[in-house]
Amino acid sequence: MTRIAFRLALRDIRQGHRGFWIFVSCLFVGVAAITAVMTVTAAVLNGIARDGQIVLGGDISLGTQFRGMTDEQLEFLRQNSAELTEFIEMRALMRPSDIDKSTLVELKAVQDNYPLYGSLDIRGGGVLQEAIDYRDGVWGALVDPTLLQAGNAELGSRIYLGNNQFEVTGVIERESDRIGSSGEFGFWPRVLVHYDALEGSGLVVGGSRNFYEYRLRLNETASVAEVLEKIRSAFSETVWTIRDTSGTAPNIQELVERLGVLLSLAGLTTLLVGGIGVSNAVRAYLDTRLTTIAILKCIGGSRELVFRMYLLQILMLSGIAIVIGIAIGALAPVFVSQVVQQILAVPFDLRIDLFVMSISALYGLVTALLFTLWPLATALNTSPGALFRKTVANIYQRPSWHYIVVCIALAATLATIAIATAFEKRFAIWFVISASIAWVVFRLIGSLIIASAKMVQNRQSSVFRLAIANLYRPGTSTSDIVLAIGLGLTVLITISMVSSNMNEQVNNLIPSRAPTFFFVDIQSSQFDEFVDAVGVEREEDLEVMPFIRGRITRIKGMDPHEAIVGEDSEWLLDGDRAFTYSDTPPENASIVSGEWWPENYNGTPLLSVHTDVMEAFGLTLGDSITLNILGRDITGEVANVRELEWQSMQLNFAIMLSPEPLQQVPHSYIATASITTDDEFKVQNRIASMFPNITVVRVKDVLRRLGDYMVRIRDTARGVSAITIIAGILVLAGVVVSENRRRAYESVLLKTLGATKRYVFSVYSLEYLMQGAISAAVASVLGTLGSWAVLTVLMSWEWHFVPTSVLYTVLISLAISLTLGILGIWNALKHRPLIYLRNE
Amino acid sequence: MSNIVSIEGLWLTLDSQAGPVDILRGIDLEILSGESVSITGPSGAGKTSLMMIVGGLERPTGGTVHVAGQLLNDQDEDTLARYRRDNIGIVFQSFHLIPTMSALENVAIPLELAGVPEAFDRASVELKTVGLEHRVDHYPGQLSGGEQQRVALARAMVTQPNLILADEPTGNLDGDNSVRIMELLFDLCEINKTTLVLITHQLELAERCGRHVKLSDGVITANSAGELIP
Repeated sequence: MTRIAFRLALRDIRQGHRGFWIFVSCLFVGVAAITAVMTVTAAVLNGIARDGQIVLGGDISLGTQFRGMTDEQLEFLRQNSAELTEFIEMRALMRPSDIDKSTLVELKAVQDNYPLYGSLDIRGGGVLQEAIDYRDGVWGALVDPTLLQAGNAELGSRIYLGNNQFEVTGVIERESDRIGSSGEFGFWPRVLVHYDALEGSGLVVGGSRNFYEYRLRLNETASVAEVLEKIRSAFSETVWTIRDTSGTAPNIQELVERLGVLLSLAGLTTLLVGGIGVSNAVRAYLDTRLTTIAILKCIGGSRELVFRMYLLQILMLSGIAIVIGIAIGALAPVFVSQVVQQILAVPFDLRIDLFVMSISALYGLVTALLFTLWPLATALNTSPGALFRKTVANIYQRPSWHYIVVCIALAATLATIAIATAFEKRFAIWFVISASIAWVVFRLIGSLIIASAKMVQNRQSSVFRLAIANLYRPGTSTSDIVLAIGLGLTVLITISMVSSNMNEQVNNLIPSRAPTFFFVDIQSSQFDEFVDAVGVEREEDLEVMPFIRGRITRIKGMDPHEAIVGEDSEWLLDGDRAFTYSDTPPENASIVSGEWWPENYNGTPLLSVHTDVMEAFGLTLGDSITLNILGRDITGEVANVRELEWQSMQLNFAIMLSPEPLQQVPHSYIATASITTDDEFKVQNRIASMFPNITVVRVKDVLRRLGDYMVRIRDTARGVSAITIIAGILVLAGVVVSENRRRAYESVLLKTLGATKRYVFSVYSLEYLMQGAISAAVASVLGTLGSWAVLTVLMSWEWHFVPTSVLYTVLISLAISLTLGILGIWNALKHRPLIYLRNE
Repeated sequence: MSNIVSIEGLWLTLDSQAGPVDILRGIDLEILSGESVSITGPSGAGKTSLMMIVGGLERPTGGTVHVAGQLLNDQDEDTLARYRRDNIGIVFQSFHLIPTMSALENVAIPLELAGVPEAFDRASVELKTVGLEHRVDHYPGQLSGGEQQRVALARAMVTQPNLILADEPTGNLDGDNSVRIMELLFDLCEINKTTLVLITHQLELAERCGRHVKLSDGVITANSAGELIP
């Protein structure tokens, strides 16, 4: 039977496939988007894996904070490697001669043999060691190009880092191990100097937040695993961050995987929206084949034969769409690789990935089948008699139950592929659930509009009456249009609201309450002098708190890893955390349960714990937490639970202790100060020159850079949404095309009966406007809910309703969809009556 | 009686892949108000094209066409639409009802276009006249061929036009339905004093008209009152 079906399918195809470009386009855009996203993600991850040694800067990386390794440890490392290099990374204030141009930088001080692998390229060429060497009484420094662009430094100019002066000798073109940095770096611009140049700078003080990094090159015969094991067993008590080439850039890998998830979900949305277009295109195509189907059935063609005949045609077209989609999707990364490398500064290993192509093809095929099967089954389940009345709408019957089961199975398969191939399953599950809910809601809204329109009795305005009647007429496309506009708009409003919230939070919330400066690493011995140097007029403008680093080692006497009950709470145990002590509760916190300890309390150590930590470990008042501070275990009881406003940019600590156990422990201080704008640079310069080890962070600079990041994220989100917009436009175009034949016929008849073009135009425009406006209203609600879920549940951010964001998105999208609709109407009005009215 | 249709030297030439084709070649025709005229002739003679031009649905390429005192040649599309709304009722062989509208809506639509407030009431009356008062809410697909044509007839008559153009109105109907439709058509035209132009292949129907025009290959070969010459 398949052979006959194939022959018939080929004959039928000869009649042409007008309108089927929508089918191919919708499928191709979705498949291309998914292929491109998966190829780029794989290329970056492959690149990091391939260039593991270069990204890491060695075969093994070891890192410590606050103080470097002992001579004994260094000697051990030298004995167990072919080569060892050491560098220090820290945040420091770079002060050019114009102090207004002072800025925080990420300083890296390297030894002569840096880097062991990869390279540090200087713009215009040059040798690293010469560029940073001591010459004519001054050390050389290489700077990030952004410092030149922002006017913070010039080639040949002098800058101060701590007490030492440097000459800017070149611009860093590429630092091959930058993304492999184990510290919390990558936010501020880089300045690179010689290791020895830090001597006398005052920047390296024991206990300061400096990162001491060591890279090892192993002998060719040595095994990384064996050397690591030796190091671990020799120094089991030492807290080091140890990595090998299998985990060269964990932050970047996580970022890329997360971006990959977001982009994949955008691709999936595109495919989903495109699916509606596929469905409409198939229905429109079958409309033109009703006579053929009816005749075939009349002359004895079984339903199965006809089904196979059209399924084969659709599979052939799907094959073409999928092949084009995969080809373009796989080629697109070639053109964007430069951009990706610039943004992420990651190696890019682009290759033909058969797995990615197979997954994309599977997505495309399942989508095509899912959205094709329903209209095909409905057409074939209809009697030939009804099919012959092809101009009469609503002739389709509900498909039989086994088609419904297959459709449900296909939908489940699509969801399974989406979840199974996602890096982060939770994201994908959220997407599948949200998309399903949105789908059902818009289908229900479509039905509701149809039912409500039937109840409207208005015979005053014939334009309005006809437009209303068009909403519920048999064969109306109200449901399809509502679904297409609704789903597309929901995605756009979600993206728009998320980016608006990012803007709002940066622009409005933080600056109004933020201090001018953060000061980090104030040593006890510098405390009094520092307070004088800041010189605030009002006491409340300077807030200073003790700053003690340590780790959570036990919860209720248990291993803390076993005690974790909250999702995504491992970060609490990931390295050192900051603690403080206080006699009085902080002003920006509210105690939600328990009581603060009395002043001069001297009993069992008591703890004030943030609600997030309580939830993470399932703690209640009176439970014990053990902290390891400078090698000493301190166990305290939870005395009270606090809530904090993290975004207030005031000093906040997740765990605070009663003062007694910590007062005698060596510790530094952290401070915030609110300074008048006129005095900002004077204070900054004074503190930087008097206390080189104290890191001065100007909040405005942080916000500016944070703003830049936000803009980048927002622009990426907009770029991604552009793909969805294209799919949405294609779907709308598809709806318009599928409606074109019916509208053209109707408009010819209306004109024959005396309707002017303007009249017909008004009726159809009003119809589109009503469909669009209702869809937009519902999409606004769902999109707003979506943005709330993304920000609060997935990103743990604050959420605000930004009405202008919704309004602009809705207006622009409606304008696009109305324009498409109007173009369709215009096209329908152009038809000559004779073609339609001549007797058959 | 005055002329309702006055055609002089009418030409219609259409482009085709094989080159221009002359459909009508120098037609002269006058139809008096209240008259009933049959137009007969073989397929491809130009009958429907002539009707389309009189209905303002096709533009002539030569000659002049006056209907109800209006020169149709150079009118824009909207003026022609208003002209049809106010003067013409058309009945097609294929009914051409709007498939997504109920019978009542199909009949009411020309009145709605003319801004008649009681459009639906008058449409109901018209449907009753053609015997379809029990089918007002049915869609065309739910009606038989004869019923669909009666709806089309009601739609053509509801505005009480000056001129009814009927193109093979019984071509898709069986004998009984044909007779019923033609009775209705002639009765309604007579009651309303409406001019009727009937295109038909059936000589017995043509004979019921007061004048007979025969077209062949785009020219009028006979135009006579009284007895029909086959």
